Parts: sequence; structure tokens; C-alpha cells
Amino acid sequence: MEILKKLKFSRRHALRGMVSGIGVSMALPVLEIMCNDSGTAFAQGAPLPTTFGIFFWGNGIHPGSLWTPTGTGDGNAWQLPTNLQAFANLKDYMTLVTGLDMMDAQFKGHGWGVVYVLAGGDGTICNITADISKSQYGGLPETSRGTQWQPTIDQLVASAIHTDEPYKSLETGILKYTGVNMGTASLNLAHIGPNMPLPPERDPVKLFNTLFGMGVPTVGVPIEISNQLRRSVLDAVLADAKRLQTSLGSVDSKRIDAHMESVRALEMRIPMTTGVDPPPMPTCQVPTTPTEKAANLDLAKVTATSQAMNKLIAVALSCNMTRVYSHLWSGARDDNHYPIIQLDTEHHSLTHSTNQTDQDKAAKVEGYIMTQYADFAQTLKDTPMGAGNLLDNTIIYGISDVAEPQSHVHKNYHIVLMGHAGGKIKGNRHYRKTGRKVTELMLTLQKVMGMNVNSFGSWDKTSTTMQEILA
Amino acid sequence: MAGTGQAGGMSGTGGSAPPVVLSKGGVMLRLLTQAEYLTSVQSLLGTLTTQLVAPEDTSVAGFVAVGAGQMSVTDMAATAYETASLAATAEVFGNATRWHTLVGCTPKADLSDACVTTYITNFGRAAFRRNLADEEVQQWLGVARNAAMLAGTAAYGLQTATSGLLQSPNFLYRIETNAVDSSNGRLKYDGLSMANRLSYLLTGGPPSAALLDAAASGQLDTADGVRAAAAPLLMSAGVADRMTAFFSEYAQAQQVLLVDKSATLFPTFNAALKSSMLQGLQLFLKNVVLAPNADVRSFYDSDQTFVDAKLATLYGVKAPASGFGQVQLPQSSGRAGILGQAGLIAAQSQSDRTSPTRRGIFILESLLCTIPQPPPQGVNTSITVDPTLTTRQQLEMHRSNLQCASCHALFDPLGLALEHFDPIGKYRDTENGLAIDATGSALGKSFDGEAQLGAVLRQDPRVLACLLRNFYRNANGRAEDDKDPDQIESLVQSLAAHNYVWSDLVADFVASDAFRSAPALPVTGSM
Repeated sequence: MEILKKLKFSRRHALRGMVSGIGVSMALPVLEIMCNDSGTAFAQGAPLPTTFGIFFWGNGIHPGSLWTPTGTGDGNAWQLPTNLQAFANLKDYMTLVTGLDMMDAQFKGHGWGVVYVLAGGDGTICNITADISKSQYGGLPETSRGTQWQPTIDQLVASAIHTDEPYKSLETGILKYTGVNMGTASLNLAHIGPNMPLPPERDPVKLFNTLFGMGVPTVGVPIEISNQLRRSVLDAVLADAKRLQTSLGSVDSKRIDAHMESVRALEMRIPMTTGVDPPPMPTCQVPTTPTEKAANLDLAKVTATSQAMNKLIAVALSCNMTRVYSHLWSGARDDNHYPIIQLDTEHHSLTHSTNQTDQDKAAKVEGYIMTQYADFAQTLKDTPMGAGNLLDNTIIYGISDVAEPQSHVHKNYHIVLMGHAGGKIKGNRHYRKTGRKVTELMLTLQKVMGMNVNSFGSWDKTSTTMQEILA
Repeated sequence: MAGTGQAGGMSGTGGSAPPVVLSKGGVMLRLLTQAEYLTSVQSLLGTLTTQLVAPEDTSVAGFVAVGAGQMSVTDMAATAYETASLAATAEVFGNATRWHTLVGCTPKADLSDACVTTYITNFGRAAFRRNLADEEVQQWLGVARNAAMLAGTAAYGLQTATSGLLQSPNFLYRIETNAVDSSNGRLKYDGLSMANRLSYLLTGGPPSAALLDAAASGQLDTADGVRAAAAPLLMSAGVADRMTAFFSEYAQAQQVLLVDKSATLFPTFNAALKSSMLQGLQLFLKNVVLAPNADVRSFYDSDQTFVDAKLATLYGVKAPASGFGQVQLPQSSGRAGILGQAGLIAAQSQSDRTSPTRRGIFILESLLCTIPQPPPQGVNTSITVDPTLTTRQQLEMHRSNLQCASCHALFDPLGLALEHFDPIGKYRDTENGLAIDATGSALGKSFDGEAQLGAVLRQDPRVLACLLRNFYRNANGRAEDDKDPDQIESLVQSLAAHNYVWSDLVADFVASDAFRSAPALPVTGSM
């Protein structure tokens, strides 16, 4: 069982479950038996895999009593504010960071906010908001040419920590953005480059089929042969790609690099079935096929869809299918409405209203979204890993595009971190400091994930670590 | 994405200004869009009963064709391509009659004979839309023979190679090559690229063997040759569908399928009505705007439209006996052209209220090609919501703030012209018990309501120039239309010279420099 030391996927670990009587790719969960006595590391001393996640929602938060605890510090020094009450059983895992700004905390807008909080800017060094107009992309975020011009933080982390998990990263989402055309940035969270999004899967059934189904018909030949031939085809595809690449300029050459990486990832997931395969092992708990639909097909049932997605992401993590995940609850400037809590007016529209009733409704939407974030965190907490659980070994960056949404001045961001990151983050802490930058927190999260980085960001480029969130 | 190739050809301004290095062309990749992929697979394999799932498109600058020139094949996309190609080939090669027809000869069980070489060469040419190099033929021959040996059947060998050819980047990307044309300094596409460009633009699918032959013969190197090669394609029935698809994407028509409305206020707004709205809009485009010899400017102000029973109720007109039928909208309906289509209005409204701002921004960016400046610093984005006022009155309070007024003045008057249409596109005279005021002025003209705004749009040369910019953008798969103003202007003139008949414009366009070449732009990041 040498191979189990480090819980890394390889072809021969691709697990085999049963779907329609045919082999299915599956991975192995981290079992306590594989760990040291305290269950905090593998028996041989290597740390358990730490995972990195993002929970993103559009349209910000209402600071004040709804969102900002009066106390700061650890444990009983602070209490959960109204809109985070859903985390009552998860407070030990929460690190709430409030008061952060984007640059000089001026008004800009959703499109710029999402560029800032996910990618640290568009690549042009800016120290004050007005500098953005100097960027060649500065006017584009809220147009049909909006995108992420830099890789999003999840992809930076994925590139740094991915070894041989079947998926370099996993992208999921709930509400589909339907508002004013904002290009790729509101419809997608993860980007590897400009106009190179990784679209989130919003349909639980499709996500299930991707993760646990075979989806590949094999008629007339044994599965071993079929798998061997799939690999031979993909090898030929890669050879074609390499030949094509020699004629390309740098931009398209990078696209082919990304394409080849995708094909290699696919090839790695095809089970290698040879005489030296390990005997069947206890496998992760494959859930039953979900029945929920993508949320936009029936907004009134969004909670059920959300819970089904949360379970699937947890299973994917418990099976070590990926170490990086991002969940796009709703896009920047989201225009969906919430019949599930009897609200007919769209979220974005509510946030800009001067009518107090509308502001109360917007706050109610935020509270509802937090119940689903809490459900996700709870699902991770309920999923064992070693002697602990998935939430012990992950860190989730819970973030929205803007801070206070009515005027969307980029001041006083509230960031809800969940998880202990394998012990690197203590949790049960409210850290509040006005005027510090979101990029400092983003740099710190990369260091928590073991990345060797010294600075981060282009808007608010920083080399300052936010030590205050660490254990 | 012209301009990504190697740099060359300096044209400096002298002095201390850095020399501008212009692109000398190169090879560009355009990933097949979802629709192009599905059409291409079925063009190669015949009609399939298996439902194939292609990866999601990415829309950039309003068009998936532009996104296809920039997006990458993600892990999930590569997986989807594999699944689809395995499923499609399993269907074809699971049926002896079908695969024998496709292959055209009966190979030996071990695929050692010339039959398979011929098949790989021919199918490969159709799939890659060019001749295969020997090295490529040998590679896929090796895949086929290895598979035949392991699986023990010729069919499985051919099936495996076929599924591989359909996953090759040479199939998945449209590969376009251009180089400097010394006669005009533009980057001219080679014949093979032109065969592909013509075919995908006009039929949505890959070039025929005859078109590839025309490319090989050099016919597509000249404007006259391209015009001649395009003629039969322009006659095909598929062109109308392709152009309908362009106008439909331009109007963001599919968006209506994604939006939802307040169930309390609009209980009839369900999946069936949304589908009717989309279908009615597309029938309007195909049979009114793009009808033979029709003036394409009817896009903006036609009083003709298509309804089924559901839309007839919504529009207050007589329903056809069955299905969809063409009707004339009475002047009293205040409804005309594309902006009167319920599908467009519903997509550009909120769930429980109209949104003159959203509608206005759509008109401004899509129909007038104007992108408003981002709101200025320190602006207050709060909007007064007072149910005793009309939406217009509430917006006017917002616009009384001078900071807001400058931008809102650009798009609000356009959006407010549509105020007679509620969030699902039904006509209304009042809002919150108050009379609707849909008057305004823009483009130097005054109007009252959507139909009059449509008439203003029809007459304004900037509006037509914007339409042609979008067509250029979509057809070329590049968002650099603003860098080729002379070509756009010549398209405007061509359209006018053809009495605004769109199909005549398309015939001119495919043989013009605007389609046969790209402007040589400065290489980004060059010294």
C-alpha cells in the first residue's frame, strides 16, 4: 500500500465503482487507518491534502448590525451578526475579515470589483481607483467585452498545487447570470486568461455524470480494450496538437497548451487496467444520481438544487478528485430574483433602491445566500477526512464583487473565510481593520496553500501578508 | 485574431516615437462553435439519432464567433468532445450498412489493405478541411490497425480512428492563415482558409470537396473567384438560417429562455410562452427582415410580425388558425420592428418591473455601437423607488443628479421609448395608475413610443453602420471591427446600392477585402 501514502491520484487509482454494470472511475477516500495516531497527517508524516475553495455571490453585503460584529478577536470576543446566523454551528471554522478596501475605496462598480477580488486587478498597476482609466481594459468590465484579464486566484492556486488529482480544479455554480451583457466575467468565476473561462456546471445531474458516470459507451469490446484504445486516440490527438502548435503565434500557442493539458487530464482519468492494479479497496461514498435541475429552470426550488450541488462537491473532495474548487452562487451584478423567499424583485435592483423596504429585502437575499454557504460548509464538516473532516482541511474564500451595494463604493469589504486549512487558520475569529486591501488577504491565502509567492495583484499590488488571520 | 502572428514590416513615424510594428499575418485558430461542431459532425457522419452534447460557447463582444477565436478547450470540454465522438462513431459503426456506406469499401479484418488508407485520406480531408500530410495519414492508420487488432474487428478499428479524427485539433479548430498582400498592405487569407470561411459563414458547416478543390486550384485567391465559388452557397436554403442566426444573436434573442419573471405579476410567463417569444422573433427575422428582396431596415420598424395564439393574446391581434402566422400590427399597438418583439423586451426587463436603463443600454451598445463611460467617481448609484410614481418619474429624480445625468441622458431616452411595454412585452397605457409618457429625443429626432423610435433608427446612418460593424465582427470572428473603418463604410455603401437587400450585401461582402483579408494591426507588446 505504498501507493496510499500520499493520496495522490494516478491512473491505477482511478477507482472502479459500478454504473450500469460497467466500470466507473472512482477515487479512494482518506481513511483514518491511513493516517497517524491523531489523524492529522498520513502515517508516514506527510500532511493531509489541503484544499482551496471559493464561494462567490454577486451584489455585496449590508454592513452594520446585519454583517459587522461589534466585537473583534477570538472566541467569545465576537458574535455572529444577523446575516451570518446560519453559521451558528460553524463559528469555530469562521474567520470573518471586515473593513478591507479596493485602493482608495472609491465608487467603481460590479465589473471592476469582480476583477479585483478574484484576480487582483487587470494586470495594469493601479494604486488609486482613478488609475484604472489608464488601463487599456479599464473601460471594458461592464460591457460585452468584460472578462478577467489575469488568471483568477483559484487557478493560480490550482497551477501551484495540482499534482495528479483527476481534476485540476472543479467549477460549479447555481444561478446563471441573465443581466446586462458583462462578457465572461459574470457568467463564470474561474478564468485561466482573458476570455478563457472555465464555465461552472450548474446542473447537478450533469455534474454527477461528469464526476461519477462513465458517459462513454463501450459496445462489443471489453472495457480494458476500450480504455486502452481511448488512450491511444488521445495520444494521437496530442501529437496532432503538437504539430499544429509549431505554426502558431504566441497567443494561440498558449491556447493549444491549455488544450493539451485538458487532454492529458482526461487521459489520466481513464482507468489503467493491468495485472498490477491494486485489489478493490473501500471506495468513497458515491451518491445516488441527483434529480434536481439547474436552478434557473425553476427558481422556486433553488434550495434543493443548491443542497444537491453542495453534496456533490463534498464527495468530489472526499474522493480527492480535486484540490481546488470554486462555486459561483451568482455572478457580479446578478439580476435573478428569489421566489424561494417570496421576493419578486431582482437582487441587483433591490440593492440600488433608496426605499428602506427594498434594502431590507436585499439584506434578506444576502441572509438567504449565507444559509446556502453555511449548508455547504456544514456538508464539508459532516464529511470525514482522517480523524477530522473536510472543513478542517480546506479554506474557503467567501467573497462578493462589491462591498456595500447601494453605492458600490469599494470600501469595507466583508470576507467570510471558512475552514482551518489543515491547522494553518484557527477560525472563530473576527479580524477588522479598515483600510487594508483585499489583495493582502489574497496573497495570504496563497501562502496558506503553500505557494512560494512574495507579492500579488496589480490593483493594490502588495507584498504584505495578513498575519492576523493565521493560527 | 489577426495580429498574433510574427511581426514584421516596420512603419515608424520617425523622431523619438517607438516604431510601430505591424503584423504580417500568420495562423489563427477559431474553435468550432457549438452549432458548427454539431453541424460538422453530422455533415461527416450523416444524421445521428444520438444526442450529442458539445461544450458551451463563450460570447465575446456579443458573439460566440468572437469568443471562439479566444477561448481555450477546458478539461470539461475535452471530455465532452471525447464522449460525443465516441457516441457518434459507436452509432455509425454499430450498423454495418451505415459504416460501409461511409467507408466506401470493405476492408480486410486487420485493415492491412488500401481500403482503410483511402478512407483515412478521404475522411481526414473532410474532417480537417484540408489534405492530410503523409505523417498524419500514417498516424491515424496506426491507430485504426492497432484498434482492429486489439478489438478483433475492422469496424472497431475504423470507429476508433474516426472518433480520434473528430477529437483532433485539426477538426475542432478552423485554422486560418493569412499573409501580407503587397498590393494593399492587408493580410490576405489563403485559398483553404477562404474555403472554410465561406462555408462556415454561409452554410454553418465544413466546405464540400468541390470547394476544397477550388481552393487547391487557386480559384479562391481572387475576388472574382470567391464570388463565383460563393454563388451556389448563396443559393442554398441554409443561408437564410445562418443570417437569421446572426440577427438573432445580435438581438440577444436566446436570452429570453434564461430569464424568469415574478410569478405573482406574470403568471403566464412560463417555458411555453418564452419558447413562443423566441420562435416568433426568429420567424420575424427570417420571413420579414430577410425575406427575398426585403429592405433589411424593416428590422427596426416593420409593422409585420409573427404570432401564435399565445403571442396574439399578448399583442392583442387575431390569432392564426394554427401554429404561427404573419400578422400586421395596427398602428395603435405602438409596436414595430425588433424592439417591439416580446422576446427581446422580456429579456431586457427585470422580473417585476421594466428597466429603461437596461433597455437603453442594450440599444446604445448593440444598435448604436456606443459604450457609455463608466459612472464617474463619487457618483451616487441609488435609485429612488416610489410606487406612487411612474418608472420614468423615478428615473428623472435620479437624473436630476448632474453626475448621473450625463450618462443616463445617453441611454434613458432610448429605453423610456419602450415604457408602453411591460416586463413581458405586453402593451400598457398606464403604470401605477398614471399615464405612461414614452416621448423623448435621441439621434437628433423626437419620438413618442417604440414604433416611432424604430422609424428614427431606420433612417439613421449610424445605426446601419453599427449593424454592419456587428456583421463584420461576427463573420470574421474578431472584435477589431473598429480598426477597419473603411471596410465598414464600404459595406454601408454596398447595402444602400443594393436597396438594402441583405442577401445582396452578403454576396458583395464575401468577395470584398472585408472578408478576404484582415487589416494589418500593430503587434501588441512590440517595441
